[in-house]
Amino acid sequence: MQTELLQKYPKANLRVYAVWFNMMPNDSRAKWPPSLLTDSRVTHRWDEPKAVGTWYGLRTASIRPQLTPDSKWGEADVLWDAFLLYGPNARWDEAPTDLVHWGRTIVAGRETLKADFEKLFAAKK
Amino acid sequence: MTHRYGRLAAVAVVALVTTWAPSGVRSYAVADAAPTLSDLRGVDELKTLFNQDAGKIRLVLLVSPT
Repeated sequence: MQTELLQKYPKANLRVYAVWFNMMPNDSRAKWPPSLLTDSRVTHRWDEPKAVGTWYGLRTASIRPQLTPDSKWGEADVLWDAFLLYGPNARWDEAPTDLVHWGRTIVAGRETLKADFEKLFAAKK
Repeated sequence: MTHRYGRLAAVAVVALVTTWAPSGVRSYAVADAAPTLSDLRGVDELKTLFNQDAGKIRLVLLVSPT
């Protein structure tokens, strides 16, 4: 993410919200990797109760059409290891609008994400 | 008079350094700060951040530390 996308498009008008929470047995806040995403356009938040993952987990059926073709998601309580890309006109009232694509896992969906970045930012590197 | 020329010289040096200094020096002055991790105050905080960045492409990542 850092090298393939953020460093490749340093001038892109982009904001990234990295929401972190425990999912694996050995996860903890102390294991947050501060050197993974250092771009200044990234905001990091720790979500102990998994509120955001749970919020999205309840709504994945409604955004299924925007799931990348290489992703796998079989419905679960908490959406995690996922990305959701929104366009510039997006607004979050009841739910965020202007969803371009979402992918799960992040690795599985990365080719679509890279293609989207190229379309959105190629002229603004 | 001498004092004023001394100040002018100092300003000129600063201007030269900031425009012609090696990129390593200039990049130090504008380097990204180390990222910080703070507690999310609910979905509403993400919603507020999201809407504050209207006009920008926005990417939400839902991730675990390991």
